[in-house]
Amino acid sequence: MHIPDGFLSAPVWAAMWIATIVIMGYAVMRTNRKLGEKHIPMMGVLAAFIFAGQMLNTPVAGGTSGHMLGGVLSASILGPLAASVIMATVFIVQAIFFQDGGITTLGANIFNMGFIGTIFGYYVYRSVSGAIGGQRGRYIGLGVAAWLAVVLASAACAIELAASGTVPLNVALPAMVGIHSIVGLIEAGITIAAVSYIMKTRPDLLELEKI
Amino acid sequence: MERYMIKGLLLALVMACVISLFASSSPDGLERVMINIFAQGHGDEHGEEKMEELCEGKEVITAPMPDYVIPQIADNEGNPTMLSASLAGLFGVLLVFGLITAVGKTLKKEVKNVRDK
Repeated sequence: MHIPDGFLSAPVWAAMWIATIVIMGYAVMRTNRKLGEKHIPMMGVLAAFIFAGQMLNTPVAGGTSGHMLGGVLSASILGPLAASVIMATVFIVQAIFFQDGGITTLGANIFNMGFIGTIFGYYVYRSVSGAIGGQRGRYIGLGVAAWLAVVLASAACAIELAASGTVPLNVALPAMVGIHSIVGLIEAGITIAAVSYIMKTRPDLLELEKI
Repeated sequence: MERYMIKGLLLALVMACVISLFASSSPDGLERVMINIFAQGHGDEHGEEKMEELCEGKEVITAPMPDYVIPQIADNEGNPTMLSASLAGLFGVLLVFGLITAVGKTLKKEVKNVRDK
């Protein structure tokens, strides 16, 4: 759901840019001098994996495809702010080098597909996994948060399009949420699979300080 | 370099350079919704045209590798080849990895440099 230039009105994309710059500024400020030696390789690998994963569109419904986002995955390993830096970088590269998402709409794209997962999704993951507890709680929390992050991203996208006067909200919102409740299942599956793979092979990597 | 890093990077490269060649090219969720809304009973093609009219000429920049292919690497008919898509994926993965590593190093905790003492 990368929004191209032209889909959002100037007031809407400008507002989303401001929100994104504020969150990004805070994330950079808070990660500055907190990142340890061990965070950096994990950030690089996660960013590369998320970039590649977002290239892999799979069919989700008749004539429609979807791909992973990775916000909850990266936040569960690195913490919400370090993960926000990764997600923003991925969307910036996609827009500048691959015309995947516009420049005016880049703020909205980083917010919707990045920060909703890395920040809101992270706290959903923590709350759910804390409430259930144990290994089972961790995976249920990841699944719920990943699904919710994708669905909320699609809702945010629909609201921005409607606020821009591009499409009517009463049509776009249920349509976006409907399709992305399926895409969200893929996101949940990938997130759980990736974390459980790390758990089996290098559980220590899941113990990095969350920033 | 840690072993998991090499493995992770290799996995990303296989995904971006090989598996991506088999990815679905159907419209994504947002495009599907826009096409359906704009089609208004005149079929997908009409909806797609209307959707594209919205973005026509609105691109702020012209990206060098639109749709994850290198346009210069194409067959005789001008269609990008598989190599073109794989190289674009390779470039993207390495760029993102390099950028994040550089950003990470900039944001790192200050470590006392023994040699400076």
